[in-house]
Amino acid sequence: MSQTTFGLYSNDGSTISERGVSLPPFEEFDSFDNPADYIAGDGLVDAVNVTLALGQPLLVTGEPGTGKTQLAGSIAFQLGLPPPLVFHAKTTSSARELFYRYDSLRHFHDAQFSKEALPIESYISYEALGLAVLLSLNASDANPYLPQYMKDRGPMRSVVLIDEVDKAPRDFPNDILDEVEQLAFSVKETGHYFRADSRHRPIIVLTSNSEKNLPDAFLRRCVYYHIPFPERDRLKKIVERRLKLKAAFTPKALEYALEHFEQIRQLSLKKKPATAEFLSWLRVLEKVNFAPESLEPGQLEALAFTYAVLAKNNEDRDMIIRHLQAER
Amino acid sequence: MDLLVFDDFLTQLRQQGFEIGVDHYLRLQELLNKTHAECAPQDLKTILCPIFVTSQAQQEQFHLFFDSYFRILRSAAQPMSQPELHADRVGLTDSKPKRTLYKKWLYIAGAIVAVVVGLLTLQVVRRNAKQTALDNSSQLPVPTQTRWSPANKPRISPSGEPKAAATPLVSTSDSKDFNARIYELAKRLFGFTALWFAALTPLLLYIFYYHPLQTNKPQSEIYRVIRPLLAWSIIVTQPLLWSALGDFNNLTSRANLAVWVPLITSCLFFLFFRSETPRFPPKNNNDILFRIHVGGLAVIVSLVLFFYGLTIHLMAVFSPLFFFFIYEWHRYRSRQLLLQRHRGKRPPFFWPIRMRTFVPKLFDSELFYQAARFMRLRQVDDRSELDLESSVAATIESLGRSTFRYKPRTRPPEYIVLIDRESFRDHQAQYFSELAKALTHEGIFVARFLYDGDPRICCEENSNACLTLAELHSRFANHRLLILGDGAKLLDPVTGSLAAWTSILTDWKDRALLTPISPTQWGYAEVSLARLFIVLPASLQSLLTLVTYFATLVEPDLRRWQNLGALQELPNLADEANIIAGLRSYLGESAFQWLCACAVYPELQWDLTLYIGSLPTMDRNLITEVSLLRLFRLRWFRTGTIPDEIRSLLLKELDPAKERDVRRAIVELLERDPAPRGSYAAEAYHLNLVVQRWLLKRARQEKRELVDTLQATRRHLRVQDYTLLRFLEAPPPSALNLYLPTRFRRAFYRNGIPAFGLRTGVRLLVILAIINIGIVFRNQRSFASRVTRQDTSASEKNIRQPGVPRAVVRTSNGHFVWVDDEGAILGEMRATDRMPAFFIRGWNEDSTELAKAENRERVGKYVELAQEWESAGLAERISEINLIDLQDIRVQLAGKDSDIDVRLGGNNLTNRLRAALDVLDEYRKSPRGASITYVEAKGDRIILGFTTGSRSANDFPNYAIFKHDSSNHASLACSSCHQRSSDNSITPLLPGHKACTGCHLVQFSQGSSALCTICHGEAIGRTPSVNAFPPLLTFDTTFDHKLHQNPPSRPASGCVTCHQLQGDKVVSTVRGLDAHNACYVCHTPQASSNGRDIAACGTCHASRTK
Repeated sequence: MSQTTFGLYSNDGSTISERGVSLPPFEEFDSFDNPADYIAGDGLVDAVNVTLALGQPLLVTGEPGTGKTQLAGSIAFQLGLPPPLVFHAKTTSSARELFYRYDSLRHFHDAQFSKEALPIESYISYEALGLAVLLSLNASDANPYLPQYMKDRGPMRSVVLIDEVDKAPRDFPNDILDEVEQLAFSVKETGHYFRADSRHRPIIVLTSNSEKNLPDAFLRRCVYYHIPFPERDRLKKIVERRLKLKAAFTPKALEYALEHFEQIRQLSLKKKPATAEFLSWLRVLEKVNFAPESLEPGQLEALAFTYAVLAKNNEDRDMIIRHLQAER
Repeated sequence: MDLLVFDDFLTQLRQQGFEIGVDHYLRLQELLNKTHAECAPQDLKTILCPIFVTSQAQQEQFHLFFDSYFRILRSAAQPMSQPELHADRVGLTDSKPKRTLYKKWLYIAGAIVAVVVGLLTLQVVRRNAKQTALDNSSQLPVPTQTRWSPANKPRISPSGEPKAAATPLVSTSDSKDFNARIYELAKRLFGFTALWFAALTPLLLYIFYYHPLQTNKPQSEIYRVIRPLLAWSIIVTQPLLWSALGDFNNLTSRANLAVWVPLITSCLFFLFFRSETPRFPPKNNNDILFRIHVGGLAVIVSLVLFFYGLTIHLMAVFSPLFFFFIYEWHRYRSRQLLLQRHRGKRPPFFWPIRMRTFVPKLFDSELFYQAARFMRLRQVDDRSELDLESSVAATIESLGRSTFRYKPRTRPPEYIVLIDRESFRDHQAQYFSELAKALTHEGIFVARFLYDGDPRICCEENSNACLTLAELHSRFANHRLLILGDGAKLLDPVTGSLAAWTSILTDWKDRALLTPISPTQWGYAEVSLARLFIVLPASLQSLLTLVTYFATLVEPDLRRWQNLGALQELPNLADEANIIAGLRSYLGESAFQWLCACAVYPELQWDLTLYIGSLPTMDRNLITEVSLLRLFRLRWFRTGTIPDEIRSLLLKELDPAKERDVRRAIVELLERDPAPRGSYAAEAYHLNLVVQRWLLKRARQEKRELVDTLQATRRHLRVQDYTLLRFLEAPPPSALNLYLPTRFRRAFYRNGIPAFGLRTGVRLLVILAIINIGIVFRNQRSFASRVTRQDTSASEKNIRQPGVPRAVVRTSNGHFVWVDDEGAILGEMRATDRMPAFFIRGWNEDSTELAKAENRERVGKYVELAQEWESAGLAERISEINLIDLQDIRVQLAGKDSDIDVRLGGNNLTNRLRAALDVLDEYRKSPRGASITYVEAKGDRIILGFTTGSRSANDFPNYAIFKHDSSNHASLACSSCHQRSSDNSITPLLPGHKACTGCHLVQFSQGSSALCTICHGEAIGRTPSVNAFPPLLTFDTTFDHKLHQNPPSRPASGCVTCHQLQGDKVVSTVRGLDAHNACYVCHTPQASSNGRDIAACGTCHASRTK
């Protein structure tokens, strides 16, 4: 049985064993999220350095898929810190949840039904920024509050990623203003007060898809950087670093793909594909063994269906296909 | 690091709209301390950017501003106006196309090649010039060429041997001859072109490199001085260069023309088009540029008059055409440059008047703050959370049974405001926008979007990014929707009910429409809209009502709005007769004056309108909600312009004092905030400024001074733009908007007229007509004479002439013989032969090679001069040319001047002849005119020779007296009359009749002429008595003493042959006629030395006169 990795599912109702193909194990994209392969633009590098120098949070915006979230991993990797502590903002997030959560329901339940009364600390779990503050303290001070796998690490710096802060309610950014600046919080339920050691100040990275919903007071306390879509050379570098493409995918083919992708980005699409989509698309092209310099019949049609990776809706896909037909 | 630089930088940044606080300064300082570095500005850009910007747009703006700011620092040496920094309205990318070095070298290489080609061609033309002239003799003197056929007469060489081969008579349509003519024509044509090209090349080079439009930078004083100096030196050295290249003066007049016309033209061109000081005379005579230009022109004019006076009239004929082409070329080039400059222009396209320091408080009322307070009231969310305190209390109440209580979450309300904006100068939209901004300032979350009529496409302010209503909904679903506009596009145009697509609006829970239409005019449309929205009039009062409703859900009572003062019914603007009265009653007197004041500036601009309203000259407290709403509801404030006719009506109503104050304020504003140079908006800005200044100046004198100042401005500082001209010429001229006095227009738009437009065409036609008239007038005579000659030559086909007859020579014995190019005598001229232009005298009749060579040269010279003089119309006045000495050419005039000879020297013959004739003609009219015997035009002066004493015209000539120095006799060679006797006797033979009949045939034919008495006592009988030989006058004897000191010229007896010792002196023994005895010992009749004839009289008597 051959080891085809693409086109396993077909519309003729046959099973793969009938077609003489075996189901291969999933091939993980080995380096897709490897922080070592992250390539930041010059402006971003400077912005990160400014953040490190001033100790202020870094607010990163940009199109989806331009590597905002991966930036935090890259910073942590380069600074030799453990992977970032992530807080995903949700529409129900409140400022307190950035530091800790108090599981009142379980506490209530336990109080009602458990014979053994647990200390209230057991119902408090520290979240990203709270953990980061604790990590900055002496291990002896922080150990009682840290989860098992984090004990005895401190004092150390850490990277905190507050992802998609624009999704949180209006009040959220305003509420965390002071906490983020002071890096101090108190646990209302226990009365503990923690304040980060200024020498081990956590590095905070906030991402947002749009800076529009953030209040001015919040914005001016942050170091701001908008990640533009990478220019061609950097995109090529990113592809080479990230994908480690097979030899079959020649530099010429890559050039062709880059050019085609740039043209697609220039179309007035509702959602423009970004770097992440481009990388996925190249993966697909690689899988279908697409060779632009020696086009075989039917390959252009094959190309058309790969657009499903680039286009996020039907209209966009149609537009890209129309563009392809016009190009021919 | 220079702190001051950053201080200024941050100040500028703040002016760009960035919010810079003290903390930014501190962060900047901290950052700079940490970088420790001497960062290059480019590195600092990305380092500083993250601490100042808060959005993507700001990030881009910061980068642009940073680039422009530090570019300015680099070029700080040059004076640069501050406003270049206003990057919020400026696209600061410097997209001006730069000429590459490569292109420059291309030009230089091209120019060098052109010069080399031109010079080579010139060389070829010159080398062939004489040959051409000789070859061509048949074309001008003998238009129809005939060839000799030996069947009729053998060709005679001086040795008498027949030479010619047997060729039959060939017709003029000979194909070879035709080809030769074509070749000749082409050669002339290309040679001519090459001459022009070579002459123009330096000029072109100069213009390429120093054209003012290409150097936008201000020029230093020294540069301004060097440039005209260079220009003049090019112009002055050109002819010298040409002269140095060769025998410039012998080129045809056409070549002269080719060189001089462009040069003179370029002089004038430089003076009137290139000069930085076009004022003649300038106010300040010390102006060095003026001196340079005048000096250069003077040098050129004097050079031209000195050398080439004759060429001027040719130039006069052709120069208009040349001027035309130069002018058109200049205009074309300027326009190209302007268009190029236009292409290189940067944004902004518009430069509205902005007041950075002036922020009128539009929303300072109690109503506004009340509304804001209500708008801030938190709104209940659709999520609930556990209310711990209530739950605990409820659990206790229910005796420990778990009882949970929930409470709804609250959130601050957020608003999305869609504003109907008709144009980018829509005041009403701006007013609503300011309201939204003011609310944002109060801490209310307001998202502002603008739409033009149809809210399905909305845009953010100052951004090209547009969102559809669906996208807006997905992003702002929980917001409260406020539409500020009349909502006309929300209705179906046919049925008047709501359009189908408006259903998407129902997804917003709270929504309202604030319409600027007066409630008194509400009708079915509002009723339809009310099905979807809460419809209220657009005013603060209704906003308060609306937000109260949102907060309390109490329905507003629409009937309250019936008598809203701010939204009074609009006057009928179409009714022109009552428009002023209507507006006055609608606005009230104070606001009406404000409206009139707004009409002063051609555009209605938001900042300007408010600024005018707050001027001290206007009434106080104008800026109120009522007056603003009333004013901005006028159609003109939505489109941004008041029609010109209305403006003039309004201006008439405006108090003159107010008008003056408003204008002054506008000029001050414009001056304070100039548009960036090189931008699209700059022209319109400058124009507005100039026009406003112009209209502000009341006195004529002041206006004139303004125009003078403008015209004295350097051209590149003036507005000169083809595109702007088009823009200006498009609307009908108005006395208000962009009306320009004629002088302004001329100063601004010299280059604006299209190349093939009507005016250019008419100009060209007029010039061609002038040239045609000139040519026809000039050539009338020569045409006529040529035609007659062609006619005669046609009848001469049967004349038998040997070879190619070139000229007729009058020999010493009075015969007229045809000669060819080689100087060979072809045969005697017959009475029926065609007359040549004039005869040759001074033929060397010896048979030596030397004589032949001399004669060849003589014929060549004759042909050349005959052509020139024919074309110059001079040949008819000449009967003979004496070519005995080519360095001392003389001509005998014809007709009434036949007794006068003109001595021309060796060069520049045509011009000298012309000048001599001009002078002669003038002096002939004077009382002594009749006694002129010769005209000498050898040098820079013209000398007239008169006979001594005064003689009347009646008794001249007196044939009874023979004079060697009479003009005719002096022009003859000695051998024409005198011949040495073969026995070496010193007494020359008497000339005999033959020597005289050549000229005096008439006298001889009379039988008893006074002429006879010169030699004969009485001319009676067959052998009349012969008089004794008259006493001789001194001949100009030249004796080369040095030559005779050494053998072989030394006499055999040595010094004593001529010298004798008398006492203590050595005296000469050879004197007078007797001297011939000593000379003739060696100078025998056939003597020659080294091939040189030493027997002729001319050996010793170089000048045969006196």
